[in-house]
Amino acid sequence: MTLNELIILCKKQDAKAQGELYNRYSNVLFSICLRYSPNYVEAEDSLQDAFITIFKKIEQFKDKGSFEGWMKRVTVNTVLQKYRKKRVFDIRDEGQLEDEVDEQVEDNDIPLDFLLEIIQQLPDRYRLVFTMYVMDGYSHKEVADMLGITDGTSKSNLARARAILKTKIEDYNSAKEEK
Amino acid sequence: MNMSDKKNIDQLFKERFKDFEAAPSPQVWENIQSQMAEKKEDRKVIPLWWKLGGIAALLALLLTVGNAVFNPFDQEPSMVTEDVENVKEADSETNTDAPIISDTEESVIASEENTSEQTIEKSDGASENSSNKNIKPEDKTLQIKNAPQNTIANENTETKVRGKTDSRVIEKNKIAAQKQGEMAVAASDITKGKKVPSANKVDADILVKKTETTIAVTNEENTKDKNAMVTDTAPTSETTVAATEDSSENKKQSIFDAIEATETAAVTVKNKPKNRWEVAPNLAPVYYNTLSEGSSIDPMFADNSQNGDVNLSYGVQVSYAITDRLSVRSGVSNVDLSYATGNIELATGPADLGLRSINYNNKSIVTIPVDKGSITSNSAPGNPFDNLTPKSASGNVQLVQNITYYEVPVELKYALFNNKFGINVLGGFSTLFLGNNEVSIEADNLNESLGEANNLSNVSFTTNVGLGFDYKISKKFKFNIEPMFKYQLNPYTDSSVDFKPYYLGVYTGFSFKF
Repeated sequence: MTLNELIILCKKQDAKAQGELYNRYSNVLFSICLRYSPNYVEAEDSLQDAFITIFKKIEQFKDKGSFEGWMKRVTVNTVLQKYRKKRVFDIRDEGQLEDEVDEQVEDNDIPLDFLLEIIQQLPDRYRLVFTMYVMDGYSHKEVADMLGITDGTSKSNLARARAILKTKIEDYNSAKEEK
Repeated sequence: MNMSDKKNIDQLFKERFKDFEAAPSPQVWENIQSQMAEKKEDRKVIPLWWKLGGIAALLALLLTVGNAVFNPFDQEPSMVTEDVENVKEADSETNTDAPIISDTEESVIASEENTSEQTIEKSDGASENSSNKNIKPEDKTLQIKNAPQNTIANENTETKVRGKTDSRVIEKNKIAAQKQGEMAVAASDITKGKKVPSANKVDADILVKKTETTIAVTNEENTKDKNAMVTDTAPTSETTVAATEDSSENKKQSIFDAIEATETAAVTVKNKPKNRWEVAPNLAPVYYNTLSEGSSIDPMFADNSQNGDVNLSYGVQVSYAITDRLSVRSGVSNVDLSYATGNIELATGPADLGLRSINYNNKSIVTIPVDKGSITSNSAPGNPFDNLTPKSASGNVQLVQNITYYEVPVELKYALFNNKFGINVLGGFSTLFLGNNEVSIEADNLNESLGEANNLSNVSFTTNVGLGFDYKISKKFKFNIEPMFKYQLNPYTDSSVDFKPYYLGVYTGFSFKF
């Protein structure tokens, strides 16, 4: 079945089509959830909510642009909504750090699991900014709009996220070297 | 250490996560499926109200159309004179035959009883209808004692009088089985001892069935009942044919009544339905709540304890009677709605951190309600509530939203029963214009207004459905009680608000006919 056919059937709330859509895209969307959430369980929760929203709102999808892109945006918004509820978006100025610093680390085949883990360990607001900017390619303005923060805060948060991640990677690398 | 191994940290993550995919546990899909199944059921509930309102309105419309189509000659005397040839046996026979009527005709009789009641009532209350004088003595004695209350009597003065004084009209009216006046007419035939009970009985059956189906349609959305309606009305065509045939047989009789017919015809003309207009000021206690689980103020309160309050709505309605059963009405009223959210605690902080759905009117430091336990229990470093200062409040702290709407309803009212105690079905729509609204904090020691909600639509709509009960104190004066359910269609400018408000009102008041 082509994607278009699948979309048409899903718009009619066809259960089989919905199942097929889930099969095709759950992995991709789950990986997004994992990067945004602090742990596996919450990521699964978010994925669930995201698909429910996708199935509910698919009628509004107008065949303009990429369907996968649309689903990803829905997923991101679903996760962000959770954190909006938690009021994690700190506007207080922590002292603006410039984000232009080029943080460098050694890449000695650091396992993906580890990288994911340290992302998830970041405080919510740093994690969200980092993953949105670095891995999903949102601009600082877009991040700021979506999180309800200022541009400047987005940049600061990014800088702080990088600093933390760098420290953890360096720790990991030196621990590895000691073996 | 090899410098070339160093990589920009962004690059590192970007590359490694580019093709990253992970599989969720199978439980996730199961959960999704069960939630989708739930939502399908939920969606059925709300359209139920749509359907009820729509059915009530549609039914009323059909009746109006049916009435107009089948009875274009409602008030023309010419029809009466035409029927002179078809005149039946005169009402020289008294109603001594009344007791022989079978059960199925009881409803017919009862209707007759009521028409005579009401006609008599009319004559008591100085009506303009001069034909009152023509009420024959035997008609008055038509009070059949054991007639059940569930009648189909009409309120319309015109048909009442016509039913009583002019049985000749029966012929034409029989064919239009749906005309209300028929019942009284057909009834008078029976009670006057006519030997055509079959024809009249058929009319009685038709109308009885029709009433049943009316009730069935308005009470259930079950398609089974709709099928019942279809099959029930199927016999109509056959029976009307029978009626026509039977009635033509009786043409030969009662030519003696020709003179009487012309006399009464003249009188009949005068009996145009007056008092079509009705004005009703009303008061209603209104209970406000939501069909969904969310919060209208902020998603964080979705799982808090919430309860709707009861307020008073007041207004005035004007209705116009299209037929004696169906009226259309509009009006204007003021509706105050309020809703309280509990389990909150307070803090003060910069306006930027305040609730997004509220206009803080340019204040820089504002009171911010949050979920209970968010501030005090969160002591982790870098906690998001760092820059909020807790604000103490004693007693039960509640976040209260008050909304005032000016409501303009447009509704149809169909009378199921129209005696001294009437029962009506109501359906329609209202347009709501937003008046003042306010979100405030209420506690034992504190009552502070935060500001206006900025996510309410200025113009929104409701679908209304309800029942009306009225008591006719006099022929121009009624007391009404109408419980109504009104579901708001688009109360918020932001479609992501998961709050589906409705309000239940019991509208009481007096109405005046003029």
